[in-house]
Amino acid sequence: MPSQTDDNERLLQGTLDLLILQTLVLGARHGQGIARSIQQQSEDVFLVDHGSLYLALQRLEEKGWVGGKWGVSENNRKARFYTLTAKGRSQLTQKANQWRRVARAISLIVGPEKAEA
Amino acid sequence: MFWRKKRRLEDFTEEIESHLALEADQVRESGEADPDPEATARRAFGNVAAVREAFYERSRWLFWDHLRRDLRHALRLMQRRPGFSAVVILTLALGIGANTAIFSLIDAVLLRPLPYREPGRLAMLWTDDPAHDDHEGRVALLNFQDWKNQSHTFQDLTLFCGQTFLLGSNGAPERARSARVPANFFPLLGVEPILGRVFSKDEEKRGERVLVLSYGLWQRRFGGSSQALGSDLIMDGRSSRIIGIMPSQFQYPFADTQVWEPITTHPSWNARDRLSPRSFAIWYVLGRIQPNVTWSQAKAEMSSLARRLKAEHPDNEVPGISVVPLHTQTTGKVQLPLAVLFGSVFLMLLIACTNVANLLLARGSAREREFAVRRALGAGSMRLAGQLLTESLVLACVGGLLGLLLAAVGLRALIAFGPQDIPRLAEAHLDLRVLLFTLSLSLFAAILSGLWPALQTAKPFTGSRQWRTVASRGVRNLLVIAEFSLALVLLTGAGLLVHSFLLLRTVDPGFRPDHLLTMRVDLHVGKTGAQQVAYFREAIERVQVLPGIRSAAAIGRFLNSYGEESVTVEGHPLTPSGGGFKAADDVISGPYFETVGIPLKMGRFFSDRDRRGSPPVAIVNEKMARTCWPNESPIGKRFSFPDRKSAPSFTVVGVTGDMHRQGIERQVAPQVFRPHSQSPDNEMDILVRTTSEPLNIAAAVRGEIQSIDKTVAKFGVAMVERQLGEQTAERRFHMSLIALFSLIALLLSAIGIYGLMHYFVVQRAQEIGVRMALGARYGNVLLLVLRQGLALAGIGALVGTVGAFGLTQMLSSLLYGITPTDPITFALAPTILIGVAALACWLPARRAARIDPVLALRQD
Repeated sequence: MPSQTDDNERLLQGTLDLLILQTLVLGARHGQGIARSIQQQSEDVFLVDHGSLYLALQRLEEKGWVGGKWGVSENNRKARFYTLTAKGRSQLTQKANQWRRVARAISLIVGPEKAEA
Repeated sequence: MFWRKKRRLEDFTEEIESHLALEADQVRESGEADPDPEATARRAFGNVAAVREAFYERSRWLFWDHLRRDLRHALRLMQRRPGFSAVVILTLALGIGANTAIFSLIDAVLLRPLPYREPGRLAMLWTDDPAHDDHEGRVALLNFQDWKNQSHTFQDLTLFCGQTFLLGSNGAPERARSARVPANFFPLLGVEPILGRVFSKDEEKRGERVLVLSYGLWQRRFGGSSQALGSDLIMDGRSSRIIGIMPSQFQYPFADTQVWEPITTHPSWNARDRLSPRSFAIWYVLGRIQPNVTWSQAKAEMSSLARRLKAEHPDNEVPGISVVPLHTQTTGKVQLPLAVLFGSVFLMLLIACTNVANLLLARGSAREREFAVRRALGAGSMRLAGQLLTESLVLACVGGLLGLLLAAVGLRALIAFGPQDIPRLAEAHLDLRVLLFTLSLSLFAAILSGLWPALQTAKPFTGSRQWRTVASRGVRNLLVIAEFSLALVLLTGAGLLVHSFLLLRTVDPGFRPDHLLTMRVDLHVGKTGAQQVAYFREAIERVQVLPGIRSAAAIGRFLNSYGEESVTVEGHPLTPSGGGFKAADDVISGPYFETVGIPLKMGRFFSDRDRRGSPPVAIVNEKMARTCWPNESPIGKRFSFPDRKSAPSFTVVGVTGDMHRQGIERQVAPQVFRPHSQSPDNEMDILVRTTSEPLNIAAAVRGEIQSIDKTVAKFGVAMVERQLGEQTAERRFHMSLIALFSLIALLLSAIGIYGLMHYFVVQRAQEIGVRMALGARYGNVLLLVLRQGLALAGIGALVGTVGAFGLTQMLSSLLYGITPTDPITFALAPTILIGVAALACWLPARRAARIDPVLALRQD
């Protein structure tokens, strides 16, 4: 069923894009750094699939939301560093707002955490 | 976004590698004891190859990438199977080439606009006489003036007529044709001279002796020098000043127009034309309708105008006016034949495509293993179909290129051997439009021949191999049936045309055309009647005594007499049904009937006693005798031409057999012959019957006539047999082409059914082997295969016959002597088709019958 997987992917992609953009707010990072950052900041909830991450980065770069450049990592390894572009920044604001709205709506419906009865 | 510089796969791979290294570092730093940090990193990453592939696929336009690879593959395949490829390419080249050639012909003759300003608004206007089935009669000057003054739908009307004249004065004069036109002729057409100017209204009014020269004559006489302007040209001994030169492509109104002169300057203007009655119709009329006026409005206005004029002038000979758009006028007669030609050549292409489709299907099933491997390696059905379609695209394009070459050669042959009277035929050439046509035709052919096989072959396995073979054979059977029905339609059409042509050849022209020479002789204007009579009498006498000549005579015009004239028969009330009775009228000199071979049926020929001053006599043909004097002897009866001033009555002295002078296909017209001695004329066809090969004698005849009077100009000597052939040249041209196309179609169908039956035999070799092992004889096996093939051909022929019944109706106006459902043709065409099919099936059948059962059973 191609349409269904498409839907799932689109949802996941959207989320992953948002996470990547958010991670880059603090400055340039390489792909591995992004993956680690997302994992750590989400308290190990999001285990980013590395392959998908690089494809997502490529997609974002094609859209012109991030820029990629080869550089040298803190431990002297060659790595490709990504930075947020102006276009990416405005996209981030938009997507983050959108996400907050959705999250608030869902939490309103689901309600606050309660003790098991 | 293909314009942005793409990131290369190597770069991406490098990034992944750097990621793996960083990840491994991290594992090491984490302090956990890991024997192989690199492996852990790779495990965390997942399938590197899949990610790379995903990157590769999204990073480029896959379509082009696949296309490039498929093209390469297709070219390789083409090289690897040269025999198969050659057959496919040649088949397509034949179809595409023939279509291209015919298209460029149609483009030149029908599609390209005439070289005048807004040619769509130009039309010819004719006298319409339905009672005599004459819708394109010429127009009298007085009528023209009324039309011009009273019409509102036409912006302007102009008129013209042709005149032959003798060019030059000293030694050997040359015959040329001038068009006598008023000053508004050129602006009405919207053409301008390349040099000088055209004459003005004032010059026309004053009858000034000025003229405009054709490009051809300018080149020939003046070497294209601008000195020609202002110099004089001698026409019929009168000199006229050249004031302009027309461009090379402008020839209107006649194909051989050399000079345009004001209508008023010709001697006959004051002597005859200006004062002639409404019955004297010698003019052609050309008009340009107002913008925003439709043809039906113009036609309606002209017919009401005709009714009004008829009421005002009861003696007016014009029952109606017909308006024929110029494009229809020039191409009307060739439209249908060309359309039929195009239809048949297109049918041929369809057959070629069907054949190729069949070949590709067979090839597809032979490549089953290759496709199975490709599918196992991950190729989807669409991907496979795309690849196959690319292959047929490559084949069709190569075929198209080769076809273009064939078309170039074929077109040259068509122009060289084509009849002269198809307008603008010589202008046909391959240009950008034609190239575009060929390109789209090639794409069409590729899709038509490749799509079905591609989809069929690329279909994933859904059943057993056996089922698949059966299904594919069903499709191939259908294709062969389609091929045969198309071929039958074509064959039937060609058969009808050939049959018509054969019938036409059996028509008795009423005289003996072999060993007969004609030569047109024109005396200078200004000879007296007596001189004219004497001249032709001397010419005939001198030619008659030349060696190798049986007899000689002369007639006003031999083939295609001038228009017919009204006749009043004495003692008979006018006409049986409406409109007056009309007959052709020609003067003759010498033993005309004996020379041409027309038998005398009654009475006598002319003799020396029928001269000037003696009672006016006439000989009529049987058709006229039967029409005017049914059930009585016409000898001694009298008739007259009422339209002529000072018209005497003529006494009929003889009746001769009918002769097809107006063309073999036309009905014989009533005919009057009168002695040249009683009504002299300055222009005649001299006819010579030779005892040996006429061409050898032609030069001697020309020399002899030239020696009588140096100032006389002659048309070239022509053989009557050849002239008669030219009458049917156009018919023969179309017929030969369609016959050629249907032969090719027949051949292609034969190849198609041969291929299918061959495949059938190879596929069923085992089964046939079993049959033979069980006792089937040579004949049984032969019959098994033949029956299979002939059943297909038979169904095809049946379907084709039904189709032909519907389609041949379109041909009816091109046929002679038969109906579009001519039983002979309809019986013969399927017979030939099935005969060819039987021949084509014979080879595979024999192969089947010779299968060694032992070998066949050992297979697998």
